[in-house]
Amino acid sequence: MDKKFFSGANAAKTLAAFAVLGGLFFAGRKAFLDSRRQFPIYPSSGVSRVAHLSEYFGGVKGTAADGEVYVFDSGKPGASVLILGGTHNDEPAGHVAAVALIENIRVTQGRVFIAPRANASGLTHTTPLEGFLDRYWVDTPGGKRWFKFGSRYTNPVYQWPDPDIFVHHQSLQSMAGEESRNLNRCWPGRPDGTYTEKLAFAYMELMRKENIAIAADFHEAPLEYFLINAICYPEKSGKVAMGAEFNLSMEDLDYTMEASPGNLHGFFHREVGDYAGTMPFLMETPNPSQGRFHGKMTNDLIVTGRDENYIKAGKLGRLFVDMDEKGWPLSLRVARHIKSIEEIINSYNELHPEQPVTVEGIPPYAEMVSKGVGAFLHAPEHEPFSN
Amino acid sequence: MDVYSCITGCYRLIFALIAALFLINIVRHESLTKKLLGVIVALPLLLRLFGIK
Repeated sequence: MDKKFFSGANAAKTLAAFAVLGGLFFAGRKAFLDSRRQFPIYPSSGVSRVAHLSEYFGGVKGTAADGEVYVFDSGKPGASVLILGGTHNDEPAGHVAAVALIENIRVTQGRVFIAPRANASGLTHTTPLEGFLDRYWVDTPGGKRWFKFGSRYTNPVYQWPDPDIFVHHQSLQSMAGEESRNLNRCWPGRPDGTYTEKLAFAYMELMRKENIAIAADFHEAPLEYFLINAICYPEKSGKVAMGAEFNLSMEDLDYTMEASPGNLHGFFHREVGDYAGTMPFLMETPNPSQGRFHGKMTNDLIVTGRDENYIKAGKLGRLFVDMDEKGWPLSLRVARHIKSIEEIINSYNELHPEQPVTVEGIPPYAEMVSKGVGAFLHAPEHEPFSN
Repeated sequence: MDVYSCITGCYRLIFALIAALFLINIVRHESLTKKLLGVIVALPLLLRLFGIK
């Protein structure tokens, strides 16, 4: 062996190189592991228990798909409601609305199930080339609360590789390959399918076993997309949807009611209604941090929903919603989600007075818009990530 | 042990061998630039090898 390997100069350089390697290893390890940490949730005193999806379908046990479901059980007979936030994790109003409900509501009749991180693996990565933030902060009276910003897709470390073309199992409808990791293209899932299909199947089992009457899935959409400020529903949810629209219009809240096309498969608003006894509703709010036009991704863009490019596009009439200097703040988008599920529940109760679900403590729409969503979030405890 | 565990084990072994190769080269090369290039390549291999993904 060459003696130069053991010369003093080479040994010093080798030690320096290994010191750099060790430092980068531990710094990289921390950065990776921090990106797996999930944002904290402080449930209200009304929560009965925190269930896991594996209670309904054992196929997800021990995997990242075994997400938590916050159960609010009044103990009195009534209908059951399921709310999903975070099906797509680049749509922040979805999981913030679910968290705001978890931290405020009490159920006095019937049951409410809330999954705030519907596809938790999507919170462990971001979509490549989008320049997304790893996390963002929302002001509360007690300090800043942090939330994760993620991807609309399952993390490929759990499901890889993507097929060239994704074929929806039940309908044989074909889609782009990456949609195989999109929870809202994999409904109703299957027990022996991919990670994402098993995740969808676990929620279907929850809905079937818990006799869920109403299920809501909170989404957001780019402003240049036509399905926006909308509630999408299939035929079986029609009566409840119309009642909700009437109630919302009485308060001057403009929502588009979109009928789910019968031949558009894999979607929550189609398959949940077809494969379970549940009435599904999918809500969309405008998200300026999601579309193609927005500028640099910042905390401000996510929380205030203001973006110069979108304001310009709005003035040119290129968007499906109004967009001006006021933007689309996160608080307004969260308030719209919460108001829509509140009115869907009210409409259901009017149509089914024999088996209602009564929820108290829902954050009022006007108050959330004026005070901000932070006013309805618990103060942060043991804050691990300073801003 | 099923077939997937065997394939995962083989992958880990290959990762370990490649990482070992680069670590040896970090010692072997005299140039600090080449040593640091070895560090850059070995780093993701080691992170993956220790299950940090």
